[in-house]
Amino acid sequence: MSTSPDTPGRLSELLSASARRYLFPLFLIVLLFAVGHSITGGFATLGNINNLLTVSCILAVATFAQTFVILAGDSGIDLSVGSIMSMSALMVPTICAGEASRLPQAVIASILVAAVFGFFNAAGVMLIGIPSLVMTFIMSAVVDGFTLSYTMGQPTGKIPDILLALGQPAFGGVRWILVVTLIIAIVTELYLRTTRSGQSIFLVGNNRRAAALCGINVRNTVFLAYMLCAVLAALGGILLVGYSGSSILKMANSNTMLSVPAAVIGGVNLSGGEGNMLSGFLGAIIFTLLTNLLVAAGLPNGVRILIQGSALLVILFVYTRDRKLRQ
Amino acid sequence: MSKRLLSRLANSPQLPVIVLAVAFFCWNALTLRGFFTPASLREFLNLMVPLGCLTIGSSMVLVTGGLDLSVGAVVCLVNVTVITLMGKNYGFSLAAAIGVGMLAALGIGLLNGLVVGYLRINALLATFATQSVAAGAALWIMPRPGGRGSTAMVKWFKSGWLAGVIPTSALFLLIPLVIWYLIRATPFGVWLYAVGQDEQKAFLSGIRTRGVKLMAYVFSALMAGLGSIALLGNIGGGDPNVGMSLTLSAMASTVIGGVSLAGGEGDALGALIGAVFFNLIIYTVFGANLSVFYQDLATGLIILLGIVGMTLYKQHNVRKRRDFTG
Repeated sequence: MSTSPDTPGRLSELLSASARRYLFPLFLIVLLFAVGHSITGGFATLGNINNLLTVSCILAVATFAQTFVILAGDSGIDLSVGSIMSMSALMVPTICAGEASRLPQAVIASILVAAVFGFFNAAGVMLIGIPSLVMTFIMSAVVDGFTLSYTMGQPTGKIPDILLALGQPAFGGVRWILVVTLIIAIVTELYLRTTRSGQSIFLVGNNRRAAALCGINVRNTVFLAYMLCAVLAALGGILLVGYSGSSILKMANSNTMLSVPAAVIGGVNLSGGEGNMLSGFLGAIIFTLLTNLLVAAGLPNGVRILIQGSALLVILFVYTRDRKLRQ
Repeated sequence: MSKRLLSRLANSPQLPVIVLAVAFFCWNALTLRGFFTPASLREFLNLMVPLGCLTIGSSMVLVTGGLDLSVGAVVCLVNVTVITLMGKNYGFSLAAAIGVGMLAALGIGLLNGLVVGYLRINALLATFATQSVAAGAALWIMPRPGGRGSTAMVKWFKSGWLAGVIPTSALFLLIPLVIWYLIRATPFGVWLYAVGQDEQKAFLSGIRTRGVKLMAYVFSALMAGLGSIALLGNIGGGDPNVGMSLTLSAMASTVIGGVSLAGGEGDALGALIGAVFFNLIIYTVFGANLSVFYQDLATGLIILLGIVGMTLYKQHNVRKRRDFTG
């Protein structure tokens, strides 16, 4: 047993992998807090950090959802995540109509509808062969149209108090929504790491042919990934409506495009088969921080969006450059 | 001659979108009162020109295997630049304002080409980021809708005729189409398709793939700028959000028009027919007496079915060709 020679190599490899995954994002987060604190005092106070973590939960759940589809590979991406979040955020209050007793059926209904949309996404991609980007982009328009026709433009009904409790502190100032999001992160991470179907998502993402030769049903696994993504997105929408206490059309659509770079910062490989949930949370925190930092700096709307886009370009430049053609 | 044309049509990848466009055109002409009149057809043409410009531009980027999500934001940026410069504070003439607006579009196109071609960032994410840059700049220049363009230009665009036969608004599509096919006839046109089919092989054959991509994104942004000017001819006012919804429409139309997202396939004419189809659907849904709340859903579903049909037809064609060649 002479493992000692390669132990340092492994250690440094391990360190560089976890550095990529956790240390860089953490460094970015600390940096953003420092910049925020120097611009407006009170940015890095405990209370505000708690607030920012709470706000980032919504994007975090969108990122978890997005991760499933990206993991399943073949340049998979789901651009309907935000629309499905908006849909469940509007559906749940409409079905509940203020009565807490109807909450379970409202939640189940919105999750089922989301799963159906996820099923159609997967069917378009796997059975018909439409590129995932096109399929889910068009699907986002269909979902938005569905939400509009379902709610008739105006969400009716009061949000039940149980849902509103998501925005209330659970213990020591930490709000319930953060607790729930962490639970979702841990459950999905465990699912991916320890269960057979979770592992097969990785395998399918790495190499479809090899996965098929191993006896994995590739088609079913991809369907599962898209449907899990849609269901998680619906959960994210429910969290959002509980936290924000009101719902408007397309309220969560902006999460779609941010969920992709957030997942990438979390170490997800855009060509599939590599990534995890917990570090996706860090990616979500970075983008939420960036937005709030620019709002706190009191910049006009246009300048804020402009800087946000430029910052995203820089982050993408650091994280997602393709390999050179000249290898 | 006509037989050859027919067989070419039957084998063209654009057949589904041509059939769809003709079918919806006939349906509209039969069911919508007043659709098939010169005035209404001119109006239809005027309204579809902006999207048509965007699809001609997008088709070139898609041919190289890329994607441009920033086109809608470029439309906004050019719109507010032109209107602001023509306003009291600056007093530019229409031509000068349009010139500066097109320079802004050129800037975004160069940025796209730089980050996708030279910095090798994923096209979807990169052009999403530049979309924020352009949309942010537009909002910065003009935080809320306002301002007026030139009424003479609106009149010229909406009801002018060139030499008594060509509607002035059609020029916005005809000239770019001619340019597109001239480009295609040059070696650069071959490079575009080569890069889209296999970037590695194209690179190894000595094609400067980065430069080819850069030019495609510049062309796309300039076409978005032209689309913005056409939009100005329709509405004549400034609005920082005016073009945002055009991004999705442009991508859907281009894909329905037979341009493959994987690159190396399709052309500008197919994409333009896709845009015609897209606008015909809007008329159909609008005229179907649906409640306003169901219109978006109906439009989305028809587009989705169009893309499904297009994809199935393409696969059928590939299979047929494979059977034929053994």
